Amino acid sequence: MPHTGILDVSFPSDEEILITRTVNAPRHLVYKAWTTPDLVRRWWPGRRGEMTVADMDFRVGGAWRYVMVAHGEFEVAFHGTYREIVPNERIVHTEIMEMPGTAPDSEEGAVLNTVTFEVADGGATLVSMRTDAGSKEVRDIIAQSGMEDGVREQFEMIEELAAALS
Amino acid sequence: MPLEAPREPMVPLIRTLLSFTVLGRPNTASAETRAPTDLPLIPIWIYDVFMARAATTADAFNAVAEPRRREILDALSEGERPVNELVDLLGLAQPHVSRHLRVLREVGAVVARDEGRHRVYRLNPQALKPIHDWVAGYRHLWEERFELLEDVLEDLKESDTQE
Repeated sequence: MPHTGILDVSFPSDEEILITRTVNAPRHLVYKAWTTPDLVRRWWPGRRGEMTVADMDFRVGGAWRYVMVAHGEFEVAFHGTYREIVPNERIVHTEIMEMPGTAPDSEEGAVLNTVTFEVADGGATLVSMRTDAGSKEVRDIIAQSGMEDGVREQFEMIEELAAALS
Repeated sequence: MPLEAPREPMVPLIRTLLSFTVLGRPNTASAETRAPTDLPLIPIWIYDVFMARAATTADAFNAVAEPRRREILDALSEGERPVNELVDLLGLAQPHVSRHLRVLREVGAVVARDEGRHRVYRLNPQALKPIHDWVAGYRHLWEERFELLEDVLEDLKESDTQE
């Protein structure tokens, strides 16, 4: 059971990334903050810029698009489609980062994200985000990069080394 | 920072880097305090995807993507070692070890000096900093998002009580 405030990142399979974080708020409010454009604008860019577009056609089959502008007017955009919506519990959507030449409605190369909201102890909510890269191509690229299981420990070492520099 | 048009599909590259991120980040509470603070104001993992296009950075990623090379780095993290010690330690033939060392030397991850008849290698962790920055970046972005989300939720809790 993750502690409130600690972000956990793991790698459940060759194709997946899992981020979990417990937040100190009831589930229906977390869901609201996650699915209401004006609220999404306040947290999604982190502290790295302003969100200029938060389009959410929030229904199954509906499209979403997020754009943020960082200082220096560097723009980054993501879009996707909602695949499944279970109010207060679960959202499944595709996500693609727009690169030069990406069509606004392109789903090519999209990842599949599953966000779940679970009631946790003390009125908190456990948010889980599972990203499924989901293709042989991607899996092969990862495999070719030597990203097999068990790499973690070596990277911890690199991490420590590099941390000593900062 | 120059942002060139990608020469190959970016999405697989991004995902590959994502896998680095996830693998690279141990689940430690203190980790966030180490995240770099002087980052440019764009999502850092995007920044680093572009950064990774710079030859040196991409090479550093490639260099450490090989398990035996990470073993070498691991061994050198305890102190400098002559080649023959690395050969014994890894249980590989000397030419293989030398080849890995050459790759690591080319990206600056290790530095060699001659001591008598031996070449002695030591680690140069500065060369691995781009990887550290990338690894710290994606996690740090999500940490920021959740922190801000909690601010939003505090406001929602207040209005929820009032309703």
